[in-house]
Amino acid sequence: MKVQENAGLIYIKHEIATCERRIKRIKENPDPSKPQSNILLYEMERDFRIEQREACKTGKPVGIASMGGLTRAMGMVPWDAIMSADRTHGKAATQYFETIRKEGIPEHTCDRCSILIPMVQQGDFPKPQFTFMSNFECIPVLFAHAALCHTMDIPSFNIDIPIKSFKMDNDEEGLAYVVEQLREMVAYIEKTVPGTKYNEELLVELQEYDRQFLLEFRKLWKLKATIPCPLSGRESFREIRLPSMYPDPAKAVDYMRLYLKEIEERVEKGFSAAQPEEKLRLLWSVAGPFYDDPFSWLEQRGVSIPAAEMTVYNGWFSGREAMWGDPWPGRKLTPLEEEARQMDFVWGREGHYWVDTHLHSCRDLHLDGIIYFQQWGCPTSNSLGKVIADTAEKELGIPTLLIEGRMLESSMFDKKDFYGRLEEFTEICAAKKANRQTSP
Amino acid sequence: MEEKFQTLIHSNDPENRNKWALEWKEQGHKVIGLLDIYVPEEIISAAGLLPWRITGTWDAAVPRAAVHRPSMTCRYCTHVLESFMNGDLDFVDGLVTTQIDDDFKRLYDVLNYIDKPGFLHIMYLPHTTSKTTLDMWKKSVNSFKEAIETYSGNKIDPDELQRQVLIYNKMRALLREVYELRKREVPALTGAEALGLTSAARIMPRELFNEQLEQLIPYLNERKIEKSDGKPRIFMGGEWLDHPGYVRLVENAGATVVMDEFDTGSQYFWDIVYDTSDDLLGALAKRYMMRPGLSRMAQWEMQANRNLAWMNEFNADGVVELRSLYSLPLDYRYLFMRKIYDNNNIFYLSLNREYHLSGQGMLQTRIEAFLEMVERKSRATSV
Amino acid sequence: MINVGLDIGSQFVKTVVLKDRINVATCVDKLGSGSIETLVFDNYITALQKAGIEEKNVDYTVATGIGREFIGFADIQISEILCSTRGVNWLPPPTGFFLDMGMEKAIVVKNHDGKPFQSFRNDRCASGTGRYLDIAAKPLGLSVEEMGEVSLKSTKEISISSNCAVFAESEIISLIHQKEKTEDIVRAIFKSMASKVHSLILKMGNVKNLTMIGGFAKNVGLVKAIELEAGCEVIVPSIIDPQLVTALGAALIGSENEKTTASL
Repeated sequence: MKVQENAGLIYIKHEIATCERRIKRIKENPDPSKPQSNILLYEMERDFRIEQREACKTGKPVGIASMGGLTRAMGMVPWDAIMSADRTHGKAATQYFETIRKEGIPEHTCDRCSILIPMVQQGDFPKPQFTFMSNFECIPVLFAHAALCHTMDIPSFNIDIPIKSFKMDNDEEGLAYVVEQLREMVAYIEKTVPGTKYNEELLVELQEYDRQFLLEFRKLWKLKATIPCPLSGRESFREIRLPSMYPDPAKAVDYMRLYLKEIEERVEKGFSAAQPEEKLRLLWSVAGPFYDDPFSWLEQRGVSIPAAEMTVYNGWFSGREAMWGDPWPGRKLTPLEEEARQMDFVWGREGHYWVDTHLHSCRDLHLDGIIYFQQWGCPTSNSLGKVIADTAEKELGIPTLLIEGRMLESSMFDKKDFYGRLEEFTEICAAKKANRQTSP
Repeated sequence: MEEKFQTLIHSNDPENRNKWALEWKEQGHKVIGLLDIYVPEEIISAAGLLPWRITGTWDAAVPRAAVHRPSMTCRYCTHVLESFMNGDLDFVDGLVTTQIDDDFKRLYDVLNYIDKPGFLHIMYLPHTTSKTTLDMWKKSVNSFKEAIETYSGNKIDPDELQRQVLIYNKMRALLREVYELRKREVPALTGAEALGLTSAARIMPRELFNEQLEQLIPYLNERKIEKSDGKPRIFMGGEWLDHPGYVRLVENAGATVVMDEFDTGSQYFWDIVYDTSDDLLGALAKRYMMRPGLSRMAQWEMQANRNLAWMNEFNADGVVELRSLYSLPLDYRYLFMRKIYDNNNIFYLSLNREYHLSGQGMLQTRIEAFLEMVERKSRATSV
Repeated sequence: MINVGLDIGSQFVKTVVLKDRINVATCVDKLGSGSIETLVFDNYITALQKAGIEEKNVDYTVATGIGREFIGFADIQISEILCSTRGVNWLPPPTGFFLDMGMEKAIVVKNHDGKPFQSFRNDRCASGTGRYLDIAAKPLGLSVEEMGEVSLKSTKEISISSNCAVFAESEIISLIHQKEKTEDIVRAIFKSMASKVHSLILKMGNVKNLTMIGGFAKNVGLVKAIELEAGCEVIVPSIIDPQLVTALGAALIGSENEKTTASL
C-alpha cells in the first residue's frame, strides 16, 4: 500500500471537474424539475475543492478540528473527511473496497469510514496536516480517524463527548468538559501545525453565518410539512455543508435563501415531488444505497420522502436542537462554548434522543411510515431500529421497514430484493393508512 | 491439588457458571452483572453486592437478540442480550457497563427499553487519558458510587471500600504471581487454563477466590504443562474472548500460549490500585482508567508498547490475535498494530472469530500455517 | 366468472384457476431455460386445460411474484405481499400471521382482514431461507424433499455453530466425517433454520399460531422444527397446496376487480 506524503489530488480534481460539468449543464440547458439554485451550490462545492487544491500547492494547512468554523478560525482549510468518502459511491467505492479487502482494512464498518482510509493512504486525497478524533457522532468516525492518524503519523487530538447530551439537558458540567478539551486542542494545534493561530473573531463571524443558514433551514422544515411535499427525496437526503466549511460563507447563506424561495414557489403551485399524486409520506432514516435511486423509484409510485433522519440535522431544522446563538439558561455562551455545544450530536448519545427525533419528525411532517436503513457497520443506529419501530407503531400507529444494506459499496446490492422490500412496505403503509383514515 | 485447580478453572463453564451468584442470592444478597474491565468492582463489593462478569450464551442461535441486533453487530453484546432475553440471566439483579463503544451503548439502550435487569447503569468513560478526561471519569465513578448506594440502600463505608481495595489488590497480585509462572521455559499452565482462572476470579466472591488461589500457588510453582518443547511461544490478543476453546485451538495447532492481552485475561487484573491515602475514589478512578487498556482507548501507542514489553518478558515468538467479529475498535487498531509489529519484525496473525465457538477448522488451518512460519524463523535464528 | 392467478417465483411458476371464486384447477411447473413468458404461458394454458376452460373465457388474470413484470399477457401485476395475504385470509382456520418461505426469502406477515399490516423478512443472508436447505442437502446426498421425513427419525440433538450457510456446509461435512447420523444432522439443519425464522416471529410480537405457505411448508421436518423453536402452532393449509396460496390470492384479487364485477 503506497503512502504518499505529497497531495495526490485525484479526488479533488475529479470533484472540481464534476462541479464544472454540472454548472455548464445548468447554464446551457437547465432542468426545470430541479432547483435553479443548484448552480450556486455547485459553484460553492467547486470553490471548496479549489481552496483545498490551492492549500495543498501553497502549503497552507488542511485539516479538520471539530466543525468548519473552528477549523478556519485556526487558520486551516477545512477537510470534509468522511463526507468526501461519501462522494465515491459506485465504481470508485467498489475499487476502494477491493483495496480494503486486500489490505485487511476493516470492512464491516460504516462504508464512508472504511473508504476514508485507503482514500488518504493511497494519496487520492491529500494527507491532512491535522485531524481531530471524536465520539461526537459515532465510534466508527472516531476510530477511522484514529487509524488514519496512527498509521500515517497525522497530528491528532481527541475531543470526547459524554453519553448524556449536555446540549439537550443544558448541563454546565458537560459543556465545561468539552470546552476544556477544545482549549487544549487549540493549544496543541498551534504548537504542532505550522501556520496556525486561533482567531476568535473569525470564529464568531463564521458561527453567525452558520446560524443564518440554519435559520433559513428552519423555514424549510415548515415547507416540508406541506401536503403534498414539494421536496424530492434526493433533496431531503442531501447532507448539508454548513457555510463555515466554504471559502465564501456568505454565498452559502444566499444559496439557502434562494433555494428556500424556490421551494416556496413550488408550494404555491401545489407542486408534488411524488407522482402522479402523493399517496404516502415516509421518513428515510440513517443512510441509503447512494449508488442507486430509491427516492425517485418511490416518488414515481406516489411516495414522497419529506425528510431524512441523519445525525443532528432534523434536530437543527426542526428547532428542537439548539444551533449557534440559541439561548442557554442564564447566560450567553462564549464562542468556544457555542462550538462545544454543536459537537453534541444527539444520535451519538443515549438512545432515547434518537428515538425521540424520529417521532418528532413523523409528527411534524405528517408521515405514514419510516424506512430505517440498517447500514452495515453502523452500531450507533442499527440496534435501535426495532425500538424505533415498536415505539412508532405504539405512539403513532405507523409501520417501520427495517432494511439492511450498504451505503457506498454496491457489489452486493440485490436490486430486485431491495425494491421488492420497498414495494411490500409501501403496500403495508397504504393498508395501515387506509385503516387509520376509516377507523373511528 | 490438580483436581482443585481443574475445578477452579472450569468455574465459568456453562454448567458451573451461575453457582456462586446463586449461592450469593440465597444468602439474601444481590448480583450486579458486568461486561467490561472498567467498572470499579471494589465499589460494588463494598456495597455488599457481588460483581459478576456476564458471559453471553455460547449457543450459536440468538433469535431473541436478533430481534434488536442485526447480525453484523458486536457478537458479545448480541450473545449477552440473548442471555437476558431468554431468561438465562433472570437471577442477575443489575447491570453496570461503561460505554465501551456504540454497541455497548445500544445494548444498554435496548436493555433499558425491555426493562431488564432491574437496575441498569451506564458509566461515561472517555476514550483518551489526560487530566481533563480523568477528572470527568472521577465524576463518573462518583456518580456510579451514588447510584450503587441508592440501589443497594447501603451507604458505602470508606473503611469497607479500603478493605475491598486490599482484597482486589491481593487478587491482582496473586494472578500476577501465577502469570509469572508462564514466563518459564515450560509454563506452569496453558493459555486456556489461565483464561479459566481469570474467568473464575470474576464470578466468585473475591475473598473466596483469593483463598482458593493462594492454596494452589505452591502447587502451581511445581506444575509444568505437557508437551511444550520446541513449540512456538505465542502471545494472544483479542477482546471479549470468553470461550477457552479458542485458546485451546491455538495450543492444539502447535503453540504454547504464554501470555495474553485479553480483557478476560491479563487486563482484568494487571495494575493495582495505588496510593489510596488521600483520595480513595480518585485512586480507584486512576487505576481503572490510566492504563494502556483495551482498543477502545484510542491511545494505541501505550497498548503497543505494553505488548512489545510483554513479548519480551514472556519471550514470545509471535502474536495470534482472534478479533471478535464486528467489534470495531480492535478491527481499527489492527491497522496500527500491524505497522508496529512489522517495524519490530514480529510475526502477527489477526483473524476474526465468532463469540461462541465456531469455525474451528478454518481457524486451525490458518493458525497452523502461521506457527510453521514462526517455527522456521526461530530455527533459522537459533542456527 | 373465471379468474386466474399466476405466481412467478425464482424456481417455479404456479397457476390457480377460479370459477366463480371456487378453485377448479392448479398447475405448478419448474422454471428452466427459455423465455420466461413462454414457460409461464404454457403453465397457464395447462391449468386452463385441466379446468376445461378456453383462454378467451378468462375474465381477469393477475400476475404476481418476482417474475411478474415479464408477463405481458396478464391484465394486471400486483405485489406478492398483497396476493399472499389475500390468499392466506381466505384459508381456514383464520390466523393473524403467516410465514412465507421460499428459495430466496423467509417473510412473516401480519394479516389484518386480508391486508398486510406489518412484515419482517430475513436479512440478506441465505441461512433462513430455502437456499440454505439446498446447500445443506448436497453433502448429505439427499433431496430437499427427502430431508423432512428423514429428520423425524432423529434421536440425538446436535447443533450447527456456523451462522453462515456457506460455512455451515463445511461443518456438515465435518459432522458426516465424525459419523453423526444423517437424521441427526438434518434435524440440526432444520433447527438452525428455525432459529432464524423464530427471530422473525419474535419481531412480530406475540404470535400463538401462524399459517405457513410456500413450497417449504410441505417439509414436515422444517415445520416441526419451527414449532419447537418458536413455541407456536404452525398451520399448513390442507385445502390447497401451500405453494399455491399466493397464486390463489392473486386470482381472488382479480375476482374483486371492477372490470370483473362489472362483467357480472
